[in-house]
Amino acid sequence: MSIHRRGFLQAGALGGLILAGCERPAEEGATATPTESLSGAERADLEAVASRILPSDDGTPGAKEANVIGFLERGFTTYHAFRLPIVRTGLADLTRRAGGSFAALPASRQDALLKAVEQTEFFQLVRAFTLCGMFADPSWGGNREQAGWRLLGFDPRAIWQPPFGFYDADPGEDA
Amino acid sequence: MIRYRPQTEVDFVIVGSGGAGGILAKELSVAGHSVVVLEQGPWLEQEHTRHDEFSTQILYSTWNDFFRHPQTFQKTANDAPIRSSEFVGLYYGRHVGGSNSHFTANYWRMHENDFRERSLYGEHAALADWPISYADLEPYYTKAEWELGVSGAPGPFDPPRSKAYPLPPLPPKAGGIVFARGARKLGLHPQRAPMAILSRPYDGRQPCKHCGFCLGYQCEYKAKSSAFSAMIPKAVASGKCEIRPDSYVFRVEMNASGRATGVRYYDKARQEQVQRGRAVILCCNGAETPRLLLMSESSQFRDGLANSSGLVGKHLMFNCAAGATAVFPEPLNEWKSVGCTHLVMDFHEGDPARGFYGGGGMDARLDWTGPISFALFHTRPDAPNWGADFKRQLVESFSHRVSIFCHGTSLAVETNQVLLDPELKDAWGLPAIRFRYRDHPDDLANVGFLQGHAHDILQAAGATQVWNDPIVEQTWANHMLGTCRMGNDPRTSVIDANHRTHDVRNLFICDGSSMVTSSRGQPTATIQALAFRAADTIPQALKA
Repeated sequence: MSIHRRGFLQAGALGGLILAGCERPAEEGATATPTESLSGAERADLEAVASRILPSDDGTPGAKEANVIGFLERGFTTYHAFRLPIVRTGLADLTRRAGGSFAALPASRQDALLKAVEQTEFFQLVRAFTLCGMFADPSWGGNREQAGWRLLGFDPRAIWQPPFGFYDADPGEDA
Repeated sequence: MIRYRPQTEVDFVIVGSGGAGGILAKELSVAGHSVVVLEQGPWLEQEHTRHDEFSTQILYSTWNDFFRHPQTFQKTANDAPIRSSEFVGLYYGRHVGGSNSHFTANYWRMHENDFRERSLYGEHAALADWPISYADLEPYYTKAEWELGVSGAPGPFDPPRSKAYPLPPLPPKAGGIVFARGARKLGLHPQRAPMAILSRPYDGRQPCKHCGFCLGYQCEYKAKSSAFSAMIPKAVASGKCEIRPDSYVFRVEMNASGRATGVRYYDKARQEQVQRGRAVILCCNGAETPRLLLMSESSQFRDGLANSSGLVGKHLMFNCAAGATAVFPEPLNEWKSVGCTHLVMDFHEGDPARGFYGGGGMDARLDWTGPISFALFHTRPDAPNWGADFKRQLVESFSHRVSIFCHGTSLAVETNQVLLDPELKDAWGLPAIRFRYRDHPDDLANVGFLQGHAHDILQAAGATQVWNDPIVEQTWANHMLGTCRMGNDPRTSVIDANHRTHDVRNLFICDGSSMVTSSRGQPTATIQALAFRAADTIPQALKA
């Protein structure tokens, strides 16, 4: 992702989070059999976190509808299993802060707890992976039925013809 | 494809199959020379063109990864080294075709004055004149445009050209239209962008289908005029050139009389091999070429091969850059089609009255590799980055935004350099790259100046929101330039004007490392013009 020539400027805090510490190329493990699994409570809490990063309160699809949890679970138990301890520790911390199940809290309370941890490695990692799970090719386990792409208005077809947008339909002397 | 045995002494061993190596392979083999091209990485075909952003861009399946190829970075020699990760490192395509397969395909010539800036503007860091002029290179810019296939139209600030572009410009995009409109309102002179992407069928290849997956991807239609699509097939068809992938060269072999005899490399099975050749040409990019020379040290060449000047790896230049982003009332859909279609070149030339060295060009683009990069990196820096407001911002701006990207200069600074890490090794046990880099204050001032104009253009164009993306010192790059610079004086340069190393008569270098100055953020056309020229000058130099 380092080829983004400008985007990185806004991502300083994210630098290294997706891949730092990886000991082997992630794609080699993408089809690996999971060696660990999330507990039911961990899975529910992780899905709840993803659902506050990309919520569905406005009636449009969010992380939940796009099955981002499927993407996260697969990643953190196979090709990114080495990050699972960060996820587990972060979820345990949320459980402590929640005084019980994070997933069972009302959304406003979840948001307040996440606000308090938004600078942590755990949150930054889950945020980055949630966005990947929302907008990656559905074959990676998220973006179910292209819910993330449809939300943005992105159409993955391989062939387009001009005009591409509004302003190039009748460009006049600006062409 | 012809196969040579490593023991066979071929005419040319070329290390690296990218934007320069691919051209030299084609030119030299079609001219009748026997050629072996050794490429570090694999030969990728369909798997390289998939629009699977997570795999290809986030998990690095088509880039040098930092697991097998770790690097370290320091701002200066006094700072503690940091391990490479996203946003800290030198990134390049490590496969047949190299980074050139991934480029946006901007194809900007350098201007006449860009070759003599030391004479024009006086002393600035290690700024130097080129030993060749624009007139020397012009025929080869033209050759590159016609051999590869470049679409474009003349602009008001263009240097003289001997021949028109072979192809008309690509269809304008909405972002380019609003950019041009805003620029004209401010009295500037927008022009169509020259792009190494086919607007019409050309040379047996299909034109662009406007899928939007250029940056970071190899084109499945071969509409992007990369060396991989346009040159390597012809090199192979010559019957004289073998492209040998998965061949990781780590030493240039020398004999007692100081001539190169070939190169030593690891094959796919990590067995050592030596490919013999009458001459060796390094085209490994501005990071790997100096690394290979430094790894080739011996009792004969204690400071590294071809390094009597002590300048191998020094004068590293990245191309400083900045951007401003805007949201427009109607859809732009910048996620379709090529990277950009319009430029503003009014600020290309340096101007001492600005108070700093440098100049630059601007284009309008989305600057992404797909929806993931948009969501991860392209939201307003001062806005929430998760939750309902973040989601709304993503949805509302995805099709309505464009950035003006300002491509600037980098001054050559001797302390910015590629060297060998004293301890860290890669997965083959070879010394890892260490790089030091700190933007010169003039480079940052220059892109700040350009960014101000970009902001004004977007406002004049009728944007509803405009913001400047923060300018930070660069810690990573995919343009690595100047590290084996060209010059007439062996004390102040590594190669001569014919790409021959000053120290070894049959060892040549042609890639971004050859550049004396940094261009205006778009070095590919110049690197490839140099490669076409080197294909003429190298055989002549060997005869002389």
